[in-house]
Amino acid sequence: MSDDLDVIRRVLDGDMEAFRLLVTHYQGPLFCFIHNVIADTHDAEDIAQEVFLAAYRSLGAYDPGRAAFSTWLFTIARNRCRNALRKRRPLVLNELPEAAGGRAPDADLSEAEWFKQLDQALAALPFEQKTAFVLAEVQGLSLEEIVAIEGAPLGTIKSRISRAREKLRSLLRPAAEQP
Amino acid sequence: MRHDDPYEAWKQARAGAEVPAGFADKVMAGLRARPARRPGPALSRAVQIGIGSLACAVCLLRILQVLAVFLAGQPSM
Repeated sequence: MSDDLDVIRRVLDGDMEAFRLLVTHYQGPLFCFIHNVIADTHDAEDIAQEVFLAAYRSLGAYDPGRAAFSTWLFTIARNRCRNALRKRRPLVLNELPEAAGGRAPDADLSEAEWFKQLDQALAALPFEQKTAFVLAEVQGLSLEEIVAIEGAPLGTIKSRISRAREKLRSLLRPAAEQP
Repeated sequence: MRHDDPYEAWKQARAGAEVPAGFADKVMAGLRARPARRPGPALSRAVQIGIGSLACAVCLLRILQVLAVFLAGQPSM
């Protein structure tokens, strides 16, 4: 955190190259988040670049007293993802697709097929559930951080994560119930 | 918890998304392509409110000046 602030100060003083330190430090978690929300590697890379460029331009507006730099970055990323998904797909799918394209869940599915089903289910989640789920379950962020990023009350965040988890796990449940 | 195995494995796989090669270089190239947009210190909230209030006061003053022209031009009874 204090390292971030030192680097930010250097950037604000005109040392553009210092921004590379922030990029290399946060590119992994940020790209992972965007990739999981957008579900397209090429688009995710473009959006991640836009996020860092936007962060650079707005760096003077970042207030360390309000949030950690990572939280601020994730908030920018979340907003960019929302805008990108709105442009790409006007209708948000609120319901999960039929498992495996209409097939019933099957205990004999390979891991790759399970992953494909879960990927489809993740992509079909409502945006708020998807981002909260990815931040909590995939990125491992604390609830406090997610509340700050999502800008929603703690109870709402917990509910979104729980609903998303339940929808994804429901894909696997029938297979588990088989003898 | 047999059903959690593929679920947990899938989450681990999702967490392992790798950053494309040369990503940081591309970001820095993007920054260099737009050097005019160098970040600067943002105006504090108090300064923003102050500027807004001053602008409102100037507008109000101008409106009162215009009204005063009409009021001064009316014949007294």
